[in-house]
Amino acid sequence: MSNVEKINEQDNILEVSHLKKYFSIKGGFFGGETGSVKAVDDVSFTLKRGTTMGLVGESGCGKSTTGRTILGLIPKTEGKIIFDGEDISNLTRKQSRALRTKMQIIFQDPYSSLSPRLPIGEIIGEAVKEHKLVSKEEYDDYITKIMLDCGLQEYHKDRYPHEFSGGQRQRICIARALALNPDFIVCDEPVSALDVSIQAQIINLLKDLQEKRNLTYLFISHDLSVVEHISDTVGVMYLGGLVETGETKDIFENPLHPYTKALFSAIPMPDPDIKINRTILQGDIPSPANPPKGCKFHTRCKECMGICKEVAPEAKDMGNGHIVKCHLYD
Amino acid sequence: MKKFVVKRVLLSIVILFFVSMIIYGIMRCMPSSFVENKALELSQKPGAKSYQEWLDQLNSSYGLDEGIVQGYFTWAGKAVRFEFGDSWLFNQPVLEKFSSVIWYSFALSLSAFILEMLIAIPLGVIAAKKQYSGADYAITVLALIGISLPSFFFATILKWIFSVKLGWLDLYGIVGRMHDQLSPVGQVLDMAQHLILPVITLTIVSIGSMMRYVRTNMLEVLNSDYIRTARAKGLPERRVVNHHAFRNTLIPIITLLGGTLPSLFGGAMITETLFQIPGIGYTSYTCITQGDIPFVMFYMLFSAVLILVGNLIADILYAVVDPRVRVN
Repeated sequence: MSNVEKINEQDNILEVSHLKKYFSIKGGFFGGETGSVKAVDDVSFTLKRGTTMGLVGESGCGKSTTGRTILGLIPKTEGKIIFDGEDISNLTRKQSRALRTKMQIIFQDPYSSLSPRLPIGEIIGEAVKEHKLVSKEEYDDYITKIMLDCGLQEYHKDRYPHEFSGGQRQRICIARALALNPDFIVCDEPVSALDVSIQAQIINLLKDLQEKRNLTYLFISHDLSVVEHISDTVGVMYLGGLVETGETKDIFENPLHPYTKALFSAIPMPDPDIKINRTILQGDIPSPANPPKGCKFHTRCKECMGICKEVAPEAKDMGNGHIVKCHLYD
Repeated sequence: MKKFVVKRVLLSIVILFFVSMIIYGIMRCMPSSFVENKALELSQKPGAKSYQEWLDQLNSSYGLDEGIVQGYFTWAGKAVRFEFGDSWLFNQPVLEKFSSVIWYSFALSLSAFILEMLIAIPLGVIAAKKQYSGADYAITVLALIGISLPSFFFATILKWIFSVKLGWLDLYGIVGRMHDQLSPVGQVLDMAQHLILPVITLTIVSIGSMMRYVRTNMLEVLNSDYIRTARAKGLPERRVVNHHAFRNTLIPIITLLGGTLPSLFGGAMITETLFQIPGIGYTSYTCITQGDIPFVMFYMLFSAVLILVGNLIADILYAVVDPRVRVN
């Protein structure tokens, strides 16, 4: 492959614009809708083919919902998603099923996300059969190859999930997603249920597979060191919205948004002698059912100004694709 | 597995010993006894011996002059050799009477059981699939009615509608007035017709709990992470529900059903009595009220065995359907 072609391949595989997901709250005497939780509120970003975007933020900020809404596992409320040049915002059920071979997801908990009654071979191969990806003759070899790629052995095929350790189970989950030969995988906190040494193995496996198969990842995590290691670009989410996006290097070395700064100051340092100036955020994350007016972060922001309480900040490009939503940079 | 079964069977024998002991004790302590009634009846005949003389004579001939403990061991000594004696009420061997009535009960229970499964399982699955929809609420209310209505109330309403008002079916009994004149096929149909109302009664009252059980289990499975995985694979919804979800729901259902299988032989005492179906339930009811110790002892022991066997089957089935248990 020549360099020119390589650059051409660096097109946008995914463009998400103004994605919104509101969950309605049912209550009241007649079970009517009394409000909505704004889990994802106006998220826009683009993702280049073959790269990894890390999505970080504290629990409940809508990272996972964003990932699942893009895949169509949860119906979105509003917004546009363009995948591989095609608008996939309003697909029929059948069309979105066909799309599963292009986009896959790896879930957080490898213990509960595998059906306990199916042997591994079937867990991995079931969808391959369903979507008729390979012929019957090739099927066995195809599954074996994927299992080997993911660090599993052929004799594992007839075993059941409970016979595997957490790390192996996550390998099964990865093999399961890869079996459909997707271009894009949402990794929904794939390592947070694993212990640290296994985390490294799984991260490296994901990186190897990305190189081999030119995969694109949306890597959802709250573990910043993992995100720094694996991502090309990073998006920081707060209360359903992206507050800052940019290349990993830019964001980690020069965080602009006060929330990003606070978040990064919480990264533990391996050397106890280094004194870090931690920014401790005061108060709890506001309820996404009733988000604050203006900038959503103003209730906890140290540098809150008058305007922050009234007007929601617009996205500003600070150069090199480093986008921040904060009135400090007006 | 073999060790497990052997252990359970040995344990069951110990349980049966104590169960029979308690039942025998209760039967002997009942305020009205078969012998007393019979002595009273015989003493009132003209020129008969006095009540006390009859009582003493009958007591010794029925073996009731022994104390409770001694009497129990006499009974148990015979029972272990499968000698259950003669029924006092029917004047025929207990086993003979039992085998002549058990099949009515079995036919009744089996029909109700099959109907129950055919109705309750699909309804439960539908209710779970469409949680909080109109269909779900309708099914849940129906189930609640089935659970809350006592069988005698429901049976009475059925009788009123179908026997009294419409006159389609007989009020009670297992055969019609013209039964003997009918051809063999006609006789079977006649019996089947008489079983319709009892079967409906039994089904309606048992369907509710079964349906709710299926719904709860199905809901639990449908909300689990691996169903989300199955959906993410892009499997059709039909396959997600039937293959992934239902398969996992089957475990508790099979366990429950396996456990109830032996009880099909146990008879439905209330329903059989209401419709006067001469099954094991109705017969035992008569025997209990009359104090027929040999028959009641056998029936109670038989019921205890059914429950023990049911539990054992349930445990074995659990291992068969769940690979996690199977390995160990």
